Parts: sequence; C-alpha cells; structure tokens
Amino acid sequence: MRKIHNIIIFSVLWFMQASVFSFAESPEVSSPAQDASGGQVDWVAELELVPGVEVIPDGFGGHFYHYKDRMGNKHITNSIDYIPREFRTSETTGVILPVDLNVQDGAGKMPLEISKLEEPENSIRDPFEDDETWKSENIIPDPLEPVNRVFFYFNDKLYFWILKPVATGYEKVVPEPVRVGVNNFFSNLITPIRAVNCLFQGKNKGFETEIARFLVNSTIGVAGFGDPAKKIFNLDKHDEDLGQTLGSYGLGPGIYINWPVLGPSSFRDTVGLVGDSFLNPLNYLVDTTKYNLAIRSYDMVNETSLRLGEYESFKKAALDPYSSLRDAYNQNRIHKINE
Amino acid sequence: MFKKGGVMRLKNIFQGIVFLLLITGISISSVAGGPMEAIKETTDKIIAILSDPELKAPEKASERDRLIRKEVDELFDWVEMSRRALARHWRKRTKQEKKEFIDLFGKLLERTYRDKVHTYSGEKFIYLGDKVDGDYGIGKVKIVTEQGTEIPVKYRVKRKGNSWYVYDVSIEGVSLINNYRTQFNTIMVRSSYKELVEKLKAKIAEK
Repeated sequence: MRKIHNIIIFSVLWFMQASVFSFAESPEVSSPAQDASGGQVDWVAELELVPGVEVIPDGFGGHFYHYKDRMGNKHITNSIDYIPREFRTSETTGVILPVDLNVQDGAGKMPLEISKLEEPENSIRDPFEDDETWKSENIIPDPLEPVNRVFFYFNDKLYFWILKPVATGYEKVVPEPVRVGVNNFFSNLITPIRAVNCLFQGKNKGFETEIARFLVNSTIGVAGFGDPAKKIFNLDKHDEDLGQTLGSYGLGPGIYINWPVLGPSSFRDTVGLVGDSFLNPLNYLVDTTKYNLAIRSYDMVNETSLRLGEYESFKKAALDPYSSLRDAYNQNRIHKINE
Repeated sequence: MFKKGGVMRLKNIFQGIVFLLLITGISISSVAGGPMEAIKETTDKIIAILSDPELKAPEKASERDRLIRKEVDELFDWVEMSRRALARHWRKRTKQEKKEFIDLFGKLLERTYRDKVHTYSGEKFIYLGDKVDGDYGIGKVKIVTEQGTEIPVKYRVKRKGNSWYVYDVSIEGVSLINNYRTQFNTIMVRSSYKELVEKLKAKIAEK
C-alpha cells in the first residue's frame, strides 16, 4: 500500500519536473538578434558592480543572493550564474529578478507578483507573421488622399502658426491646475454624449458610472472643474461616442477623412460627430454661432496648452507624418471600439 | 492499527509536500523569468538612471544617454522590429541593406524612446500582467501620469534562448511597428527604398 503510494507520488513529481524542464529547455533560437543585442549573461558580466552580496538560504537547500548594482538597484537571484563573475563560486543555472525596493526580507519571497491576463489566445501570437497580406482592418481606405494631405498641411500650419503660439502664451499666464480644471469642466459638460452611447452599446455599467460621475463632479467637483469622482470614488470615465457605437454595430470606418481644424476622422466617425452634436449641451446653452465657436476655440486652446510638445514629438518620430497619423487614428479607433 | 495507518499516511503526505517544495525550488531556478519581469527590470533600471541626481547635470547628458541606450538595447530586438516594419519589402533587401536598415531604424526608435523618457517626472508604472503562448508573449503596463491620466501600454515579446525580447509596443492601442509599416509602405510605393533610407538618415540627423 505504502509502496504504491510512493510510486504514485514519485511518478507525478517526476512528470511535473520533466514538463518543467522541457519548458525551460525549449530549443534555442539562434538569430542575428542575439549578436546585435548581446546575450543576457554578457550584459551581467559587463555591468560594473559595487561589492557586497548577501547570501540567504531559500529553505530548499539553495540560496538567494542579494546584491546592488552601482545604480543602487537591488537584485536578487537564486542562480550563481547571474551574479557578476567576481562573486561567483560555483556553477548553476537560473534566473535574475529585480527586487521591489521596499521588500527587505527577500528570503524565499519572489517580489514581483505577476497576474495572468485574460486575453484571447490569438492575441498573443505574432500579428506580423504574414508579411505579404495585410489584415484589412489595419488599413483604412484613403481615396481622398490628395485632398487629405492638403488639409493635413493646413492643420500642421494652423498648429505651428496660430494654435501653438496662442496656447503657449495662455500656458504662461494660467496656472496648470486651472487649465486642468477647465478641461475637466468641458469634459463634464459632454457627459450626455458618453452616457447615451454607453446605453446604445449596452454598457449599462458604463452608463451608471457616467451618471454617477456627472452628479459627483457637478456638485462636490464644483461644476465639473474637479474630478473627485475619479480621485475619491475611483469612477473611471467611459470614453464613448457615436462613431464607436456605430463601429460596435459592425459598421466599418468607410474612408479616411482629414478635416481641416477637426483633424483625422472617417466617414463613420464624421456621421457620429454630427449625431453627437445633438447631445452636446453647449449647442443648446449657447446657440449663437459666434459665441459657440468662441467657446469651442477656447476649449481647443486650453486643451492644446496641456498637450504642448506632443505633436512635435509625434512629428519627430515620423518619416511620413501624414500616413503615421492616419494609421494611429485608425488603430486607436479599432482599440476603442473593441474595448 | 487504524491510528498507525493514519500516522503513516500523514508521514507520506508530508514526504510528498517536501518533494513538491524541492521540485518547485528547482523549477524556479530553471525557468527563465516571464516577459513582465524582463520589462520591469529594464524599466526600473532606466528610471534609476533618470532619477540619479549625479547624472542630471547637463555635462553628464551623453553619459546618461549611453547608459539608457545600453538598457534599451538589452530589451528591444531591433532585427525583429525592422523585419516586421519593412514587411514584404524586407525579403527584397540584400544582407548589407538589411544590416544598414536595422542600424538606422534601431537608432530612430532608440532616440524616440529616449526623448519620451527624458521628460520622466515621477509617472507610476503599474505592471498589469503577462501571458505567454509558446515563444510569444504579451505584457501589459499602465502608466499613470501626475495629472492622473492613464496610458495603457502593451508589449509584444518573443523568447530567444532564455530571455524575452520586445518586438512591438502599443500605446493606446496604436502599435508602433504597424505604424511604421504603414509609413514605410507609403514611402516605398510612392518612391523607392533608396528614398526611404535617405529619409531615415535625415530623420536621425534631426535635432
């Protein structure tokens, strides 16, 4: 009886160990990448370290080694291999882990807790595997490209010649907390757009959250200038609009449109924009076109003042800013619709 | 008799637990860290470099850039990134062209990354988790700015040997590699590969 028991335990353990080892010893992929970036072991050997390694038994017959590099980062490893050469005494294999700086008693405690993500299996695979055919959703049709490029150029100049200088001046005279407050105010004002589109998409929780946010921020948050709903009650904004609603119904973007002033959009999202304008209280509160536009311009300047430098760094990273913006817009919309 | 059997069983179970612990101990030391650990390790080191008061002086700027580049090179796989960004145009390149391209594209990405982190001002990194399927994996991070804005970041990683290398980063759902793929294709279709390389060189020379 006891013998059978032991055999079962042993075979189960052996199987576990075997599977663990086969996982660890997955075939090494030799590729020029490793030459280009260097193996991890080489890097450890290169790193200059201050002396001092603490050895703490791990309770399983092995040891944890703690040491600090010259940046003052603490490192923990249970493998001699990953300790800089001058401290090494024998050969084993293993892994190096960064230590959370506030964890002092590192013995046997893996500091970084990693949760398993709830992700569909196919999302982990390499999306670029096939380089001949492009996923159709990744390209947005752009038959109006010549016109769009003209408007892109126009918007570019609008930013550098008008919007940026005005926003920079405004930034200098208005302190940041006030500008963030103004941004919150305008965001709070268009709660109906987000709330109704949550409903259209069957996101009842999102609808409730938006209503709760509106009530909290309009009262405790002083007409929406503050965001206590997020800060105190941890209620996140649900960024929904009609374009996303239509997208979630299965409607594709149609074609890409780069509007003057408004910037990147699509046929679907332009329809959404028009629809949403009926839900924008601003259009009912201020129905004189002149004042309505003035308020919108102010909102735009205020928002730009909080995002100065972003467009510049976007352009600095892009080789063809026009197609870069088009793709970023398309990808971001797909992301938001799938959210 | 009954009592004795019970004790024996307990002893066996205890033995089993000891073996289990032993083997878990072994497994920890034989399995490479996951994608999240690789990403966190590099991020922590870069934050340490950026917050090092000794490296903040203007004359130390090049030293600081060198240290950051070393860390970035360790995590990002420029070859995999170049191959995916050039897509169908990659195969038509000669060995020499590929080498040049990897170098140029790597420099551009590195500089873009460096420009982004230079403005680091205490943003919080929340490591949401990772998932692995064979030699591929993803890791998700949330960056929280001081204003409270949350920026979702997704890393795509590939296992090579015992380490994970990043081959794509998505910010707010915008994949960096897909974005460059679109740009490179637009340029190649409108003009030529030569033009693309010229543009890359000019871009890197930009201050």
